[in-house]
Amino acid sequence: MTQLRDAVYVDGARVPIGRARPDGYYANTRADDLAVRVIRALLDRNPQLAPHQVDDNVWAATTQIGDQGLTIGRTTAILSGLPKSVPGYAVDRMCAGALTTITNAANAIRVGAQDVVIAGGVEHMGRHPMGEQADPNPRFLAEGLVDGEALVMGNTAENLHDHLPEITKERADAYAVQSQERVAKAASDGVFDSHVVRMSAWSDAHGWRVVTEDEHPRPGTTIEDLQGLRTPFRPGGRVTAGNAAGLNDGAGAALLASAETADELGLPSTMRLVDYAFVGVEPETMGWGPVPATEALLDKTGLSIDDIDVVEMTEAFAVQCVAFLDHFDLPLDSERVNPYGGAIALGHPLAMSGARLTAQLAHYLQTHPDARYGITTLCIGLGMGCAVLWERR
Amino acid sequence: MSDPVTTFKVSYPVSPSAGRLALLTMDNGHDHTKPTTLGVDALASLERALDEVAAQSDVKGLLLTGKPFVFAAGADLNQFADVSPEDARYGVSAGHDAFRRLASLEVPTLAAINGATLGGGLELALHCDYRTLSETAGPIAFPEVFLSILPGWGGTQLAPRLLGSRAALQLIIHNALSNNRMIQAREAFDLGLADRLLAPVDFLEQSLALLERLITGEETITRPAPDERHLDEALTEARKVADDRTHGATPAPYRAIDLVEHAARGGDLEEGRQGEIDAMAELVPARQAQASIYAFNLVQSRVRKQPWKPDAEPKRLQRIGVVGAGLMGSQLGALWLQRYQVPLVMKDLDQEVLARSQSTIEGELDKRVQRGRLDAAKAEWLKSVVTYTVDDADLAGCDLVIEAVVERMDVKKRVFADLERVLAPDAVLATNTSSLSVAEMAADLQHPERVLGLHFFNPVSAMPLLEVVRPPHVSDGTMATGFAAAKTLRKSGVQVADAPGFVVNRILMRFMGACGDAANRGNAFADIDDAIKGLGLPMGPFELLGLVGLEVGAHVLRVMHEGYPDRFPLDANFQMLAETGLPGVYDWDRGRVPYDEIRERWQVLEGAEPLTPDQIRTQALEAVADEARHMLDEGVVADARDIDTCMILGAGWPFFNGGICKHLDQIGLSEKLFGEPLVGPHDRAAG
Repeated sequence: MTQLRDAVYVDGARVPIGRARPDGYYANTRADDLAVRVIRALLDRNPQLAPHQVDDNVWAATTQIGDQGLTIGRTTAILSGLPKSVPGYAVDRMCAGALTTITNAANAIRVGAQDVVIAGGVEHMGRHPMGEQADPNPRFLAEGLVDGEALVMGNTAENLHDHLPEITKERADAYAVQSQERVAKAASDGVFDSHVVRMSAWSDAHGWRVVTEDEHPRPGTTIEDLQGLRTPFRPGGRVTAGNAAGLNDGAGAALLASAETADELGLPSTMRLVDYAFVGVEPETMGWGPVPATEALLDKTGLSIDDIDVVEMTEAFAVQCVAFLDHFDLPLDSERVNPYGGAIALGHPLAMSGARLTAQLAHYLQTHPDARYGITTLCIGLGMGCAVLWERR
Repeated sequence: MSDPVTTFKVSYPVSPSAGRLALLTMDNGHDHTKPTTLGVDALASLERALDEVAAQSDVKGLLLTGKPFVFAAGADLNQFADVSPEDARYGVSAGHDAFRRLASLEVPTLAAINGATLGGGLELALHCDYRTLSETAGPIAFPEVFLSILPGWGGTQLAPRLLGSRAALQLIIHNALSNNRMIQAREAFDLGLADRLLAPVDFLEQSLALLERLITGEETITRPAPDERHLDEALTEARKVADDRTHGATPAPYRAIDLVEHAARGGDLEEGRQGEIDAMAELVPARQAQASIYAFNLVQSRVRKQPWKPDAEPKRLQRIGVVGAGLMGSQLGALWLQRYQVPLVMKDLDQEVLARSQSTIEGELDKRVQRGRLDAAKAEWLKSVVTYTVDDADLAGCDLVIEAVVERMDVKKRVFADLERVLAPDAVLATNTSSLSVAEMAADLQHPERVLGLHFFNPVSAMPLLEVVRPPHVSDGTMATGFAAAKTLRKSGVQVADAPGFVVNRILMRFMGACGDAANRGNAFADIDDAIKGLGLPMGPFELLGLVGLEVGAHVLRVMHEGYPDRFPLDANFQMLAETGLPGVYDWDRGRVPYDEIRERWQVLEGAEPLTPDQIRTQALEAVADEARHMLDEGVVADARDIDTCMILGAGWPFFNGGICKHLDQIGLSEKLFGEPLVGPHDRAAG
């Protein structure tokens, strides 16, 4: 096998995450404008990089219609003022959208096809509710290929509780409260300031507003607050709005480069992408995905979970995170997993989340000089998992 | 009818470096198709927003911007209609009060000019400490003087202080009097209207970042004091332009120049503001401004809505023909080709004429390429789809053919008969005749319902008016196609009946006749021209005659005479002019001096006395009023507003006369002659 080059993470940015509601931050803001803001911020923050040196602009969205359609990697390249010579394309792997753009971009860099790539994800769930215009093939159900519940993410979380009865609602709620606490602390510590860029957003009531902070967190949430919540997916169930990610709007991206180009241009390079794994699991329990994906990745790289200093994992549902912690014999309050909290508090604009995880992982490595390896991992609809291994550079 | 009310909406972003900021957005609750305007309610809203901001001691700076694509399009003009001097004074003072408060805020203020910025909107921006300009913001202008008012919310005072008098006069006088020329961001920035020109994509974020740096002191902006060494020349030049364009017929430009001079000579700002208020209290209720508001609504609103267009499907034009490839035909060909971008057939009897036509049309395309208006490759494709032919058969398949052959009925009838043999039965036939009967042209055709008049004005590319002539037997579909063509060709189509001279030429010839009468009485041509220009018309009748051509003028007069022998007598002197073969009345090589031959051959009535300038004007206006009355009675147009629209757009008659009928009403002549105004009472608002 030919020698691969190193693909390094140069920088990452995202807009504050909004709530997908008529009164949310971005109710009157287009998805492509969110993405454009992120691209502009990356260019602005890295003036050593001339815009024409960007070789590709890769963007993921789960619902690729309307303002998320028309090949959003190309539309946003033009809209953000990148030279017309810079191409772009669109990717969809649902919640792993941004992480897939990152692995795609890294691969193009690793094989030497490209030197600098912007890779991101955007999801405006207010404008595009999950499953908008989806048309599942009737064979899925008729032939029993997947259970009907596999298409409703909340049901898959209830299913995961069924399979792992030791994960009680109490443990899930405790994890959710911890996520809120960790996000609140990280916000006050300025963790998000390293990569969250402000966004001007139109509001019919207020005119232009400048959005600077995430809209979703509910700091001060207690176990008692969560205990009273409805279990909308199953009477007497365990999954609530409090121990699951929300419905959100946001965009985020990473700037990746070959190690040589980064060095040549004087771009910072926090970490290199070592390897990654995507796996499929049963769609009915899609939240299990991060476990086999991480196992596969560790197996490929000859590392053990003990070698991993930090894991940034999406929190689609608390049960999915607790399942991961239990599997790797980590305590619920492990400082190595989601040290800055996660999507339960911050929100989860599907295809965008991988970009957020990567930026937070980079921040962790930047601020923890002893840390060497980190993993970003997500569960994915229709039963998949992914994990990406990063190493300090 | 007032515009939707604009409110100043406030939000308070918190900046990590600069602290709490106030972000004011002007919004009228509609998208950019209804631009934000500033009426009295908007000014009250600004005052409230400033109260709220000033009450908060932790606000460190203010950024003012507009809704997407619009900053602010100036005062709500409709609120100026029919106001008393007291109300005008009140409204203008209210603007000064609110804007002055903005200027006196203790914290730094920045106007982020994100889009269209006109008049009061620009003055509002000038009251901020700093300005950023989006690279795609526009149009930007002080259109006030064009409307016979002036920038009365501090514009005449702040613009010279910021830009210097030359640039201020450029915007306030020269551009406004150049048919309300508006500028785009780059030019505005070069004039000094803004401190920074920023990319539109993250314009608001970058503007905010600049404000933050200005607050923290990380960045400072200093502007050199304007160079006023050539103030006197600039003022003289501006006054001369006002004379040339308005001939003193509207006071607004002169008042504006005086106020700019006050500012440029270091006059007191508050005194200047008071001067603006005093001037506006006089100008707004005056007839010139009132006529301008009326005219503005005609050409900006009414004509665009095409109220005459029948409810029928226009024909889709995919192949277009022009018969008669002379100067007019070539101009028409170039226009239809550029706007429709479909195959074009130019037909003439003469190969040499066709060769000239080809170079004219291709030259037009090349010019557009040079100006960056047309892609070079597209231009080559357009050239390749034009057929220059002497054979009618090549016109087969055309969906519309317009003729521009010699103005002779027999020739035009033969052209149409030939066309009918090669065209599909539903192809539209248009004539560009300036005065002949369209119905007669169509009379012997199998399908007269497909014939209409499309009367363009010379030069075709520059003149905005298109008289869409409706003959009696025309179909709704044909008329709908005519109006759709007007829109596609970006002309203002006005429906007129099939009567000799239609509107513009008929009014002009009647007017000319009255002026000719003065010459027959012994008035000098130049004296008559000067007397008429005192009405504010762009040129005098004998100057215009040189532009039209003496032969063409005599021809149109003959046609008008055939239609209305009483009111359009065949003046022997006019026929003589045509016989001379001279290019015009004046031998411009010697200045505004008539050719000797004309002076010698012009017959003055025996025993007649020359008229005074006032008598000349009165005689001309009475003739026009009489003709307008006849046109309304005859139904040439349904509405006096259509005469005014035609005279403004087809003859360049000024806004401040509201075309002409409005003026005749304003000075009481209509009342005196007919006992009622020409313009109906329904014509107050946009209509």
